[in-house]
Amino acid sequence: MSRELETADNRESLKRVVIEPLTRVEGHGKVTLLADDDNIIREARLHIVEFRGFERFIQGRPYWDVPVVVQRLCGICPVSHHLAAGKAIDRIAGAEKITATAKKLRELAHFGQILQSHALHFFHLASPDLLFGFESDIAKRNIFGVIQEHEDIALKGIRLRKYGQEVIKAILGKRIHGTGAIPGGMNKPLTAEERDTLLVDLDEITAWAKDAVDLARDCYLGNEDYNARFGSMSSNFLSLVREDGALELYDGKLRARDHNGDTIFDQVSDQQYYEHIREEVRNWSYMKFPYLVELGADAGWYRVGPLARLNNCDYIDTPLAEAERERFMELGGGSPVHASLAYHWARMIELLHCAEKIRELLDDPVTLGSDIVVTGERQSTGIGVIEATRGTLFHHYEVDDDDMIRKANLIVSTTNNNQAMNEAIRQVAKDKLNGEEITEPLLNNIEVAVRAYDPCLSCATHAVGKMPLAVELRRTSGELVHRLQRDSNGHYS
Amino acid sequence: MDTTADRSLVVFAWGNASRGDDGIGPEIARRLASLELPGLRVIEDFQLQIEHVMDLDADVPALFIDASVAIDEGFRIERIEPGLDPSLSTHAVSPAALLGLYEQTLQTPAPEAWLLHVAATSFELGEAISEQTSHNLDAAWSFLEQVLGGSPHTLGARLAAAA
Repeated sequence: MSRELETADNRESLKRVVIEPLTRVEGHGKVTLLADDDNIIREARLHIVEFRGFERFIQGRPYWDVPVVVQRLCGICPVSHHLAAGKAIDRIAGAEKITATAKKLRELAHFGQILQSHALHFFHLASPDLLFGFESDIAKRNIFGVIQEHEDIALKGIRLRKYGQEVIKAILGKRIHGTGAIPGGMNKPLTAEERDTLLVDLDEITAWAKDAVDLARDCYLGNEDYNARFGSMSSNFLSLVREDGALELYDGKLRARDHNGDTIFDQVSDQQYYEHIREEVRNWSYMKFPYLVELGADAGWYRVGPLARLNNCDYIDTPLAEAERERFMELGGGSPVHASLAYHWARMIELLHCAEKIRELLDDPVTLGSDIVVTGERQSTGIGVIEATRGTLFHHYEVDDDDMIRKANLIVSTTNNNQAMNEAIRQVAKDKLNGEEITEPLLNNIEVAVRAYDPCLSCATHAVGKMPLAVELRRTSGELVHRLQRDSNGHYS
Repeated sequence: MDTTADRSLVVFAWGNASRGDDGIGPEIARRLASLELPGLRVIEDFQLQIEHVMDLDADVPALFIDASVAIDEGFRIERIEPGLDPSLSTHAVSPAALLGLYEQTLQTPAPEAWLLHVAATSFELGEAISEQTSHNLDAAWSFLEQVLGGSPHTLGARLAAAA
């Protein structure tokens, strides 16, 4: 848990490699590498600049409007922000506990969101690398190559994603800009007709989710030694868990475990998160670095997301996913699983869990209830924490007497994994990037390491033309040693 | 539920209305939807995504509309062919990649498709569409009104002529 390779000695004398996809508006990160005269990487940093201005965007708005407007923070996980804000706003409305029906409706939307997001990531973003290898021919290492060898995989990914969005639409009213969560509950019940429509395809969805777990497991175990080493690190883990220790994605208590799996804290109320988590500002990064107070800034960084959740929970309360979790945990032999690439396998176990939970909720008559709003005594502070697709998501608001948001603090999932992603690229840089030529496979290794964490770099925009990826290797004199550029059409030059 | 026979054009317009000029797509989607033109289906989203494959139909021409930094001013319409995206790191797909994915997954030739670029420059969170981009948007809208003004069943032909 050192800061090796974060800041080099004598960095002014080093040559600089910049992997720069970009301008800030494009929705990506930037990797800078400094190499010495022997081409040994001495510094590696991942810069993500998208998460600026969130708090300012929210401040000054009426608190009941927040669950709607925060969806515009991110085009990928609007539902996660909607629900985290909804939980926070419940507290401001004095609704410490919402009704059982309202909670189940929110859980349905949440499981739909995680299901569709996990499906996109695995089937369309990660599978080409996992199936063909990180340094294989790029002409084949894409979704079309996957389709050639696994004919139905892309269609399954699309249909899983579509199904998750149908769940979201049924609960929140619309696929985007939904208005389901309101202070103290939900704004509409689920009808029997809507439930029946969602049930039609669910057996098939669950079977595909099971297939996805098998594929992810086979990919990982097929090259286990390599996958275990790639971008690997030892870290702490943070997540919500249920009071009985079960995997919990919507509502629970905070648990942190160290790299050995020993408990740092457990059953901490999400309302007290700020007593255990701080954010460090570093002068080279827009994105903060959260850490556990108990361990301090240097040793207290942690990972969140699917791998953290599986390492932290004691069991999963759905049978198919629990059986897969038990197989997964055998990787660690009684200790946490630390491999970055194990995130993909863990992600698919969660996908299966979501499909099972959607079934459970749709079969539960309480989900169709009409008692969906509670009221209480107005409070000045609201905190909402959920396990979003990519990990723990914190929304914290303070409201003035005029019902306007006076202060907001958000810690998004990707920020929680900031240090981990930096550690991953440093591992890869040390192993792979010490030559004078920047090649596409080398570049892709960096992307693979970051991609394992499924970082949400899409909070900004995707305007046409904003997709270049340029890599430059320069000496301190400014002399260009090598440059590799990927343009918006995917061509390298 | 509309059917293929009822539709003569599907429009995908995407972006984030709270991200400055990225709001071009949603604004055009709003204006198009308000026209209530028969045969016109408008799909708005934050981003173009893989599941939009299911909104394409081989027999229905598609028009994609987005803010663009590929041009400096005004707007531009171009014919697009099925293609492949370069990066797997982003969670969005390009219009060309969506067409390619359609062909590969559904084993069907992609529909005729066009991309309407509207020049954009500023994408800050919380900003409105900038003044210059508003002019670009108005010019693009005038073009769309003209193209959409005739028979809905010959929209594709008119777009082809304009590209």
